[in-house]
Amino acid sequence: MRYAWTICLKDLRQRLRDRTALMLAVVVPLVLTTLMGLALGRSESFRMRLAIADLDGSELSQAFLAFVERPSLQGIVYVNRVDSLAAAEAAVTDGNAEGAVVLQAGFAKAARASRTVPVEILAAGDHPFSARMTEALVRDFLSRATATATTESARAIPSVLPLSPGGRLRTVDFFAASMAVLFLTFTVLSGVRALQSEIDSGTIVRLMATPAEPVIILAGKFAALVIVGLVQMAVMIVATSLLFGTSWGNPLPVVVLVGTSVLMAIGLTAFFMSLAENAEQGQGLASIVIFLLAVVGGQFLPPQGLPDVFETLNRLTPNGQAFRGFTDLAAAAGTGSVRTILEPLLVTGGVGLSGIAFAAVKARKALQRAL
Amino acid sequence: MLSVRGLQKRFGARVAVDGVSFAIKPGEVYGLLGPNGAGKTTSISMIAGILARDAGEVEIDGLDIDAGPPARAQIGIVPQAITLYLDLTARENLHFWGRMYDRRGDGLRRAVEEALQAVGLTKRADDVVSTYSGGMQRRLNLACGILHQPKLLILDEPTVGVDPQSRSAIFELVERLRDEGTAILYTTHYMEEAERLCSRIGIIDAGKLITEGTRSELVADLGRAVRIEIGLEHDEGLERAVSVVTGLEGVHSAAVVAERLHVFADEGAHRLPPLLTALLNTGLVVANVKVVEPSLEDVFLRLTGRMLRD
Ligand SMILES: Nc1ncnc2c1ncn2[C@@H]1O[C@H](COP(=O)(O)OP(=O)(O)O)[C@@H](O)[C@H]1O
Ligand SMILES: [Mg+2]
Repeated sequence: MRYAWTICLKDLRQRLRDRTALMLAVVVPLVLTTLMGLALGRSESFRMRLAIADLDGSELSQAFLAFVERPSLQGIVYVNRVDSLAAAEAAVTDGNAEGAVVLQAGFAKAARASRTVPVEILAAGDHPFSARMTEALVRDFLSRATATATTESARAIPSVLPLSPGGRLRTVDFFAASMAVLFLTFTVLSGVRALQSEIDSGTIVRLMATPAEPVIILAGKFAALVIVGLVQMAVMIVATSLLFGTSWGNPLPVVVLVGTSVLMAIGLTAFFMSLAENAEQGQGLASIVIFLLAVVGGQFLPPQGLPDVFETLNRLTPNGQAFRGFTDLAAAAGTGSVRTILEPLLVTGGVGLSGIAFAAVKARKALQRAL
Repeated sequence: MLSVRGLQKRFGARVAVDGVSFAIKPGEVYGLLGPNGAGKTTSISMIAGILARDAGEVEIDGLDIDAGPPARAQIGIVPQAITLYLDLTARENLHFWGRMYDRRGDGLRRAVEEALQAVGLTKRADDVVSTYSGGMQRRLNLACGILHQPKLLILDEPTVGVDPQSRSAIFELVERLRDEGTAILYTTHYMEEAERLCSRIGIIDAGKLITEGTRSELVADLGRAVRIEIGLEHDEGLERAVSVVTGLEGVHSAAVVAERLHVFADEGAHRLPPLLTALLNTGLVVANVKVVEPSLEDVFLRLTGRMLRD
């Protein structure tokens, strides 16, 4: 174990010595976030008009209205009550609302019985972000309401709903998450590159001749990568919170997602590195792919008004999933939980572990050749 | 200190090391002499426990290399390539390797200073290694392998591409370590290095250890033979010249090396005229002739029909 620590410290020292990498890890993403936030966001907040039709008329459906109209969402979500499904549809199609929620009759009953609740969510096709926001609101509400409903039956529900602070997602916050994920991948890439150059330069031969077992050597190298990734994310989160007032959401799910995102970054970069002939080539290849994935995933464009296709692409790219998870958590504010980001967690974690496994197998072979 | 028996390694169909056996005592420098591709590095990698063997046994200070960490801790290895962290300083490199061999605290600091001193890098110790000359990097490469005072030191062609000054610094260090009782395995394809440094020499070619002994034993095995080097007026006649001289009395072998005809023959001035006459009779014009005292080079030539430095 001491050997692993020695190797980890040595690797961290090497990372710190690389000034360009440090710039790339800390300064560049912050500058980009500022610029993009200013250029594209006109520093205005995200706004959304939401049409709600309450066809249930129950205590629970009224609690939903109160939930959506709560003070912390004021100035962000503008609620417009309508009285039928048709009217809700009209509001969205006529451009009077970006999203609509129709609580059908039987809403409360179904919720209490923990059955599928009859809720229709409508959203304007050209506002995927509003659609996500609407869905998140409903999901959040239901997860709390049903939890209390099943245990405490028909007690006054609104009183047990805590008001979450924040819950705003401005353009600058969007880019904070976007840049954090993008540069996390780049930073981890430079670490993976260092691992590869250990093989290229033959220092791995020396390492293997030491009393340390191969697993321990790997553990040390892996620990250094994880630490680098975690520090990068921590710096971005703290810096954007201080500089731009970005709120990243509930700490626990954010920390979990940071963990799986670091895994994702390691797996993704290790995968591309292992496809290449040497460190130089691998870094080039991986950089291009990461950048393309970010572009395709819609990470460089402001969320409002993006065509639907980006929503889909976003879900298909691992870095897009990480990014989506962070924006979901920020949008959900105090109500975000690990369940809010189940899909991003599974995808990023899964991609990370498979990439690492693949690279490990390839590295074994490369090592045989290096000796 | 080191005992190697029946070492074997194949890469696919190619047998890289084929039944190599030898032993090294404390305070002895054993030279593994052979051309590029002979199997020196492959042998060393197996001895150091970083490459799996197909067959054979390696014992270090009574420990089987398969015992793992305790056996590997006794070895210091200096790979053929420069294996340093170029973005760290010399001191940081040494410090790291020291820790990997369980050196700590004051003992480690002292060992680092001594190693720096031994290779004459004390002044530049805090400079990043990428700013070093090739020779300085070679010396540091060596220092990283001796820092933990191994009982067995393995040097893989440590002087390749080194300036004369660094080269003699490396020689002196090797001799000092030998005098302190370190067992040293030294591979090289330079005959002069093997002659100067090694108490015993094993000649390896195509994976096989073809002979072994002290320098004088190896040369004595040649008997009273000499090497006659002949330059021809026209190079295209060289191959024909080989067949012409091969059958002659007193000639052991003949080969073309570096555009010259090398003839291995019994000692004695009377061997020369028939040789030259035979060549002249077939229309080959001799431009110059040199008779060379036997050396390790000739041992190799005699055993393989090739020159070491090909
Ligand atoms: N990893 C490997 N895969 C395939 N062949 C190898 C490998 N390593 C060495 N060889 C071959 O084994 C032979 C011995 O190589 P090596 O031990 O490096 O020779 P030397 O160190 O004496 O120059 C060579 O023919 C070389 O091409
Ligand atoms: Mg070699």
